[in-house]
Amino acid sequence: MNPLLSIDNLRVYFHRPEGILKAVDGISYNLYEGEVLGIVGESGSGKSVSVLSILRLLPSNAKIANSSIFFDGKDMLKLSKDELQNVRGKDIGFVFQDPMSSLNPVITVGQQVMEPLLWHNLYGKDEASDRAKKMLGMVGIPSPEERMEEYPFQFSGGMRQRVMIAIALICNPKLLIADEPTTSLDVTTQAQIIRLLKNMKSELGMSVILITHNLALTSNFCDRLIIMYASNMMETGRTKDILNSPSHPYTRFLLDAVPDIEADKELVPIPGTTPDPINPPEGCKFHPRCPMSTDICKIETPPLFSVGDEHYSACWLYGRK
Amino acid sequence: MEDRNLISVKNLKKYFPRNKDIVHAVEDVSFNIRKGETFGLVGESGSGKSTVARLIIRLIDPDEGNIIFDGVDITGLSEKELKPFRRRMQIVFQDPASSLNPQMTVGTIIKEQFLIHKIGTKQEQEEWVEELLEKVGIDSSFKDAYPHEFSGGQQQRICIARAIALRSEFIICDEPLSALDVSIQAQIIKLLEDLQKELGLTYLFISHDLAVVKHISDSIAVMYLGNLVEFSNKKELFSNPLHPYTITLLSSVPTIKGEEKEVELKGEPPDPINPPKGCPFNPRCPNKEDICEREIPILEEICEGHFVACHMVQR
Repeated sequence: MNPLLSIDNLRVYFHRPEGILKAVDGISYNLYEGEVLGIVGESGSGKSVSVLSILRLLPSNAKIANSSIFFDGKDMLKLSKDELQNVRGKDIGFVFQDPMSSLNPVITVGQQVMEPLLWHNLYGKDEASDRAKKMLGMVGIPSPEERMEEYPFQFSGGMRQRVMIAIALICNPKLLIADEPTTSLDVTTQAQIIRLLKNMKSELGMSVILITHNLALTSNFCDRLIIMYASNMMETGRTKDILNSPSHPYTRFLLDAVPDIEADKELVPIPGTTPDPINPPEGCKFHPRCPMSTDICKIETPPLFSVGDEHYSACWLYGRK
Repeated sequence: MEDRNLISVKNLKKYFPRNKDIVHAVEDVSFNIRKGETFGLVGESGSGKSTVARLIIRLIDPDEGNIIFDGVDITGLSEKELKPFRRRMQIVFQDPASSLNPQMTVGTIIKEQFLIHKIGTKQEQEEWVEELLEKVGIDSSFKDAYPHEFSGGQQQRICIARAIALRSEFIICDEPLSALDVSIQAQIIKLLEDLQKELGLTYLFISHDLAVVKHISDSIAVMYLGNLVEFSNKKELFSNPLHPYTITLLSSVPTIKGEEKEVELKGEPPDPINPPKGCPFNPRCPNKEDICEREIPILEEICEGHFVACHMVQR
């Protein structure tokens, strides 16, 4: 089976006055049809930039170097602006973290949900309006007919995020990218939104990339995970394998450092701080904080070593030069 | 932990005017915090937990009710009378960057405490500042640096150093981890725990993150729409939650094991300008009956030390 999305050696560099910031430094992965991939990392790890690059939604000082991104057979880095616009919002839907700043405050919610259909000339106005109404109902907005006429400020945070999901899914995309979709929401609302995403996924069958800093959030939604740290991929594998038997020291730390409501455990803080992205350490980016680091970790960046079935870890513990 | 109350809050009420409306922020809240314990206050945004914190240290004044600090009613005290009490209570806020003056060095920020309360000689003050920075894990040679030169975690450490500078016994931590990355959160939790052991601190720990609250607290109170709906010691609350809101709240927390939970909260958070009649949770409650729409349930002790405000549980 061909992957729906294939990313090879993605490098995204930001040119800043103080130097070159390597936001993403060589990550590769495939995403298959109907699969849910979680990309987990802390702020500045490069997780958002890595998915914004797919649609080339990057600021002008960002450069994608020597990489390839294939989506649905198209070479995304070679598409013209017009061709790219045909993918944005149609084949790939995007849900961002803050629903308030992603919605236009002076346009009714109904028009915003219809917009992708009209923009891509998929339907006429009446049909688009009907579909928008149906979609708002599907994402759990009560009395969608009336609420179509309302403005974003009249919606609560959770309801706004439902509207965002409706917009992202209205064209029936092949891929939905959700970038920290629940971070600005309360925990009970978060549970509702994750459940909604799961239901929409099983109903519409699209692939999903979920970006989050919360490992626990991936546990019953994502099929596979990528753990990122300081612009690099540290570990990747099936969600249950990573959560049950994490192989990379960073992933292990991440699991030990976060309190779990179901387990009484001693918290083990990760020593030190995340590295300066403009002057990152040589070798493995985690080595200054890693208790297991050896000489080679300081010199050479580890490749991904196989540690199990479809389970890879970028750590010299699992391979030798 | 001692068996003596350091803080007693009785029937606190606070409404805020907003345009022509009135926001019911805190509605009749009472609880006690024992000396030396960590009292966790949880609730979602808008539940009134931060307002309660600001009322306790009298950053704002309550409309009704009393705040007793170590046996003294501080509710009606003037600013001057309050000053000796101010020394004994401190607060650490959510966003460390905006709680540190960007134009002052971190050394001066901490030293300000001693200047305001006129404690120590110049020499002593300098020494204390260095000691405090070391105590929270920051090299004292950085005392002449400015807040922006530190990472978020380090800035929060500086806020904590400032909070313990006057040997205050009571510290409110208002979402102290929310602005920090997960790998840094554990460092700050550990620091707060170590300082509590060393200095015998009493914490009021406010958070929306139940896993963190469970880890750090001795007793926990749950707020919903300005009301305290359940209170108990940690073990009892997590093993035997009784209020329907607490039950849904606990089941909403994602876990690494990731078992699918049955309970999901229906409907939307209510509007604090027009709170529902009767029990504040009744429009979303799966167990509601007629009485819940008519009468506000009062917090009652169901079993030893476990208080719940729910008509159905009390029956």
